[in-house]
Amino acid sequence: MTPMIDVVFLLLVFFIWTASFQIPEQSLSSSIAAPPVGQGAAVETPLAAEDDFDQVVVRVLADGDAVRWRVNDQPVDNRRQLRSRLAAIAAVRRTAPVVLHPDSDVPLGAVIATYDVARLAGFASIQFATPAEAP
Amino acid sequence: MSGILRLSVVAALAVGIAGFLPRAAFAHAEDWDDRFVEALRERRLWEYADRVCRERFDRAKEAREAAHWTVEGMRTDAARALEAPAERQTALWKKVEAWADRFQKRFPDSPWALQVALQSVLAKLAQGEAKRLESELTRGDDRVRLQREALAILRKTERRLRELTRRMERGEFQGGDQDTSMPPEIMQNIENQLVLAGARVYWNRALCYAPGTDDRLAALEAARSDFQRLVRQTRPQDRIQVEALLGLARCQRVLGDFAEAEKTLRSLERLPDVPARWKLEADAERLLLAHEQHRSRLPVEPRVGRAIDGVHSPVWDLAALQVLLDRLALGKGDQAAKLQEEIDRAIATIEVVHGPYWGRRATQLMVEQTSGVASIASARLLERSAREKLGGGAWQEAVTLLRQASEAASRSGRNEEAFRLAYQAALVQQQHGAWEEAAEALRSLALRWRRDTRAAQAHLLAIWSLGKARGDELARDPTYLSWLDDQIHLWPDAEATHRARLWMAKWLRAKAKYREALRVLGAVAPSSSAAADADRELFLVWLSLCQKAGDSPASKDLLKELESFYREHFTAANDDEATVCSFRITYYQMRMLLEGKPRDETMEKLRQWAETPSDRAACSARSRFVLAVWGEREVSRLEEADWKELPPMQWHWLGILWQQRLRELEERRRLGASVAALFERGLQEWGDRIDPRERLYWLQVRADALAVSGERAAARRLLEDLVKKHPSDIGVRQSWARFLAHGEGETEWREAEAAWRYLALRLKPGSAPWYEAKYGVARALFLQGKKEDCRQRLQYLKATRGFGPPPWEQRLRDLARQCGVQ
Repeated sequence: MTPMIDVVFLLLVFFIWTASFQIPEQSLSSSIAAPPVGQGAAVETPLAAEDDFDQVVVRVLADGDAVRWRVNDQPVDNRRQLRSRLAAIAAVRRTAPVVLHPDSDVPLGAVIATYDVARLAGFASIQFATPAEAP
Repeated sequence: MSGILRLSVVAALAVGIAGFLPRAAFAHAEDWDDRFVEALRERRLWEYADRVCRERFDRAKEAREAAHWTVEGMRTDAARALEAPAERQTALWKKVEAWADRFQKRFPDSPWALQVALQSVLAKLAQGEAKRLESELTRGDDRVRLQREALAILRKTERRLRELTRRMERGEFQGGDQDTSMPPEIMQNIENQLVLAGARVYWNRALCYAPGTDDRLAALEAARSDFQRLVRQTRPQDRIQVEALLGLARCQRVLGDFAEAEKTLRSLERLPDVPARWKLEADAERLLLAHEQHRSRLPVEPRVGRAIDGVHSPVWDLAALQVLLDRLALGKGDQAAKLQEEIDRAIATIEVVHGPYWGRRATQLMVEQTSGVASIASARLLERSAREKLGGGAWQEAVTLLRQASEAASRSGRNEEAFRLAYQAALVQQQHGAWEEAAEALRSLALRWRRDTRAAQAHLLAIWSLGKARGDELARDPTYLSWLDDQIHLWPDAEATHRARLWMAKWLRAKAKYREALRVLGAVAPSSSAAADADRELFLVWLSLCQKAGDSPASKDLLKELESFYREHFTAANDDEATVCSFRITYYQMRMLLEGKPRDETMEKLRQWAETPSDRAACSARSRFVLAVWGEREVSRLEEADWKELPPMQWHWLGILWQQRLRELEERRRLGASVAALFERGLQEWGDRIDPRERLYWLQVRADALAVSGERAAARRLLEDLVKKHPSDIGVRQSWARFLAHGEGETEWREAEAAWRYLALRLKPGSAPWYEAKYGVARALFLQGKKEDCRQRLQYLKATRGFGPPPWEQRLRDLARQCGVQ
């Protein structure tokens, strides 16, 4: 009798433990975005005022052994100028999204240095551009 | 076996179409009219034949004559229905029925209604036979469906036959006086016809069932018994006996009584005065019988196009074709090529001798019989099969067959034919929207036969197809440019290549490579069909060049360069009025655009052309339009003929010119009203004939002009409608936003804010239109009293990109000052 009770208790403990570790299924999102109706449906969605603040795109370009930068398509000669430029933008809007877009042949060190400059300027959100898909 | 059976039915069908009533029955009818209608039918002038029958029917006073023309009308429409495409057949069979109804309505109690009723039943029988024949030339579900339809029609025919027989037995069609009653010999003949029709119904039904089934055997036995009864009942000189013997021989053959069938055919031979047509049909039956028993020993050579006493028979020709096809299926490789050529000739002969209906039947037979024969190497046979497949909607199979045909022709050294077939295959792909495949096919054939005179055209089509395949992605596709380059290098002098140069120039212009575009356009021959379009493109390239130069010092040099180009081109161009005039005006329009405030010389020139009736009327008219949008001339002073002279392309430039003029004019309302009226009339004149994109531009210009003239309500209605219909069009959105920006109420400023924001997110950052949109958002916020929001945006813009190029730099700076931006 005793061994049987032991076994039953063991099974009970096992099931309690396994049940407690299950991830509740309802935590997974099940809503599906409704498809746009008609050609103009997406267009007519009201735009947020936040959309007025464009992202700051910092291109990092390899120029032989040196590195050059372009902030929103405007050339920046050196790292000091880059820092002051970014600091000026951050002073206006620190929450503006910054996108770092390095060329494939830019050394990793230069990219990290640029990231640090952006961080030091005070930007909160810094992302990396994804490479364009091959045609 | 099935093919042979099929052919026998064709024989029966032919009999059905020909009609049964003896000519003697209509001895009273006008021979001339009869011959005329027959000739019309032979030439397939169905509408005329039908009209003649109708007219004669309406004119007939006696039932006998009306019955004659009713029967002729039914024969005409039945023959037409058999030749018509499937979708039109039902309507034509209904027309056949309508003839009988018409007679019945006019002569309800006439005994001659019997003849009409008989013809009506025979027409129904022919319809059933046609449906069954169609079923035998198809496969799968279609075949089952068609067989079911054929059986339904045949059952209906049988019911009508029984009904008619019962009415005859009841004596319904007897009576009338000597003139109106039906002679006994005709009554007898009709009785025999009813039996014959009954036998044919059984025969057709039998062939709708699968071989070896009880239903089929029972129906065949019934048909045989009816045919035998007829042979016994009729006299040797009766034509009907020939048909009965032929039907009997067919039944015997299908039932496997070959000896009996031969005996029947021998007794047919002994009949006196058998017409040539029946002799040929008997020969066809004999041929099939011998072929089925022992394939090699045939009583007569299966030569398609054989005639007896100058008479041809489609039944014989199709039987001969059937034998040839069987030989091909069984034949050895060394005979195959010869046999294929023979089959091709046979089908061509059938098409010529018996017309398209029998030609199509012959082709269908060939396709059905050769579908499993892999060794078909005759380009013509393959082409025929492809056409047949295409007619049936199987375009992919048709393309494969056409390509095979092309390869076959190429192997035989017939390169021209090979090119034509491959070209056709690609065109079929194009027609069905397989752009990518069509482009590849056309390019490869053009490169393979590059010396062919049509190669350049084919390659151009390949480029066009590639454009269709790529759609919006074309601008990014380097293949397009490389193909255009190939075209120019491989066929530099071909007419088609001039069009390719034009396309290349358009592509280069889109990529802002204006100088290269000019170089390419310079090589377009003035005599080519692309010259007019090239001239228009030249203007647009120059326009783009000038716009790019803007107010920079380089624009003065550019104008000089343009002037020399204009003079050189002007003298070199041919003396075509439209071209020369187009150049004159466009040149001066461009000068006006570049000069901003045009020099006196420019204006003087235009005034001179506008006022002086010159030998070039178009030039004068266009000058008047240019002056009208410049505000120098009232729209009401334009002459009625002027509206016809201005081509749609010039209208576009009038719109551009007007926008230029607006920038410098202080009093704008009057000009706005003029331009709105001008474009309203232009839309009336050309609106439905121009490209939708161009039409949209015109509407936009009109809306802008209405707004400038103070007609804000009308402008708003028009613009709202345009935005609703073209929500993704940036030009329309810009017009809408500019309109709102000039609004006077808070609602419109709020709308303007949203409209500019929409644009700012979609335009290229840093471009002039983008700065305009940014300015628009900030200004709309300022006007709504949201100074702080405005200040934040301007400050951010200044920090991230600066205030951009003039005139936005100044405007943004002014606004920033008002908002308190440091």
